[in-house]
Amino acid sequence: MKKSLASLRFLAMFLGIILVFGFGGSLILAAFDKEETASSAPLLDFGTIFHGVIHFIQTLFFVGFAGTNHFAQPYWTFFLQGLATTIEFCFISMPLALVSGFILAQMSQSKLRIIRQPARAFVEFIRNTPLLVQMMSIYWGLSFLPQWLVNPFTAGIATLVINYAAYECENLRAGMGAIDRGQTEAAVTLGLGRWETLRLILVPQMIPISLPTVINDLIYMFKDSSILSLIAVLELTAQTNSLVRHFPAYTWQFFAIAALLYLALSLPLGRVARTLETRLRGHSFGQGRDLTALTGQALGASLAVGWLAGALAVGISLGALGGLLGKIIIALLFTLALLVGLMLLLGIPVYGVATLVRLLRDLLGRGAPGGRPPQPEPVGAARPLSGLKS
Amino acid sequence: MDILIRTVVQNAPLLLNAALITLLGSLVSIVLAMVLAVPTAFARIAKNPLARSVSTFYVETIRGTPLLLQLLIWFYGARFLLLYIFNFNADTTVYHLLTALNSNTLFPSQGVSNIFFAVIGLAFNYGAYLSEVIRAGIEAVDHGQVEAAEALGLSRFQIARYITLPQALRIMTPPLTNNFITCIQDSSFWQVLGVFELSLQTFTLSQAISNSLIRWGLYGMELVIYFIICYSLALVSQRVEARLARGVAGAN
Repeated sequence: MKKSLASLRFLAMFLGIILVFGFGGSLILAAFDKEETASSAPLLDFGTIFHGVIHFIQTLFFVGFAGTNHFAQPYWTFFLQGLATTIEFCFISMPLALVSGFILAQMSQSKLRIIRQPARAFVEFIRNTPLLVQMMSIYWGLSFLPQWLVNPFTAGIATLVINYAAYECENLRAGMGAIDRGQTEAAVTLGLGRWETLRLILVPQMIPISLPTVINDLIYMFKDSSILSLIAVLELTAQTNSLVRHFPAYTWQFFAIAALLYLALSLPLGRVARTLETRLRGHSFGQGRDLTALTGQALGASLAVGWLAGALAVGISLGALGGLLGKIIIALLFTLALLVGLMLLLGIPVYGVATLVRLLRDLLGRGAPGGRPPQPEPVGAARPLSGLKS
Repeated sequence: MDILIRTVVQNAPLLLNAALITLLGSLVSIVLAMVLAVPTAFARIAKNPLARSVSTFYVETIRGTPLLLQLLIWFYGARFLLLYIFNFNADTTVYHLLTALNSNTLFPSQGVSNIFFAVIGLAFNYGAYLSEVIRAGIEAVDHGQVEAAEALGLSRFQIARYITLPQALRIMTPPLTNNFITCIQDSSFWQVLGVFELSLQTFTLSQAISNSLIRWGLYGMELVIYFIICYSLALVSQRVEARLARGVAGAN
């Protein structure tokens, strides 16, 4: 009962979009007609609007299934190609962003300032500058590098990975912060190493907390990848825009199809995220399954999905698959170099300034020798002992 | 190095002017978004099915499609819709308005319709996101309080004014300021419509420069300006958050 209601709502949404766009498109058509025939018929007449909406739906089907451009290529191939490219970029960038975000989260919890501060500087800098500007400065600012290293593909992947790594870092850090500190201490007491603690104790509990946010971020990335159209990546928005430029008569139909395609992918994902959020609350499914290995497999699988989608967009052949793999590897190396370079570029000044400030404070403040403020007595530790004694 | 410094210093006023456009434009659109968001949030939790479905449609559609596509739809679709049907032209409207104010020399030569639709598009986008924030804030207030207020005989407006909103505001403040920061960042999307804000200004200036180091210097300056604006706002929002949390603790 509830399921059928949900799917009904879905259908109503799509119908609503078609109606809204149809209303707009039909009114424009009617206005053109009126201007050409110099008629004095009222524009917002019920019959006119009805006719216009029916006409719009008809042309929507024409554009979606039958219409072709001047070279007899159907319109829908452009949309499918664009969609495949969008999916390719998302599914290649998201696993990489998750992995680098995880590493950044580990770095920003380190006790060493030389590791912690570059990571924090990187995250804060990326989170406080626009994605579009980062993309422009990577693609146009680094244009002195050779073409095989900086091209739309590598620049797009690098932008998405770097930006989302910062957001995933905050997300995973919040997930790790939600776990009781006592568990880590217990693991240390049991003699587990740092890597084992991470793999067996922290990650399995972190996944249910972070997974809904990760899926939400995937939706955001799915939408944000539309900016790659500005650096000549032919994804969905770019294809739609070029079709609109070439065939202005079908402007509203093309926009409607693009919006429907975006919605058709992001709405179910949003529903999945919401369901997971309610299902997984308080769960830590770790028994009998190695969740870390499972996560690795999932990340690898989504990389493969992106790779396949890219191959589909180019056209399946052995050469295309191999070329795509090479491009992905180059993009990965480029991203890694940018990440490390940016971290050094931002981290070294921040570390230097912070060290200087600490030194100055040590020199000026005589109250705390050794640069450390007096630690208050841990309250929680004293109590059970006295309780045991009495 | 010398030429880098000289270029940066020469171009700094232009970039700062453009940053002002970014700031003012996003301020206007966030205010408009707030005006849109409050009724939408109340419509989403209303009992009337029509209001609920219309607002849900608006929110889900906007949240499911990218901002870039929405801006393109506003500029290449809705602009002509308004022009042909309602005879509304943003350029002439603003020009007449400025004429009435005796200051139409202020009217920019390339027109204002691009910035007009850019602001409208961003406001509609953020209206949906902010309405979700407001709805979450209202729903976080305990329902028993609303029932108690109803029992005391307060009207619905009074309940919203005196019971729900003051408490919801406290919950809503951090996500609202976050959204304001992302709104400033998202105003860089306006460059697709040809609005000369910070990112398009930098892009235009940098395209004329052949030296790659100087180009990087310009982009770095742009990034630093954005970072200063957004990070200072983030710091302010952290302070406000801490202050609000203190208020709650004191009340308890």
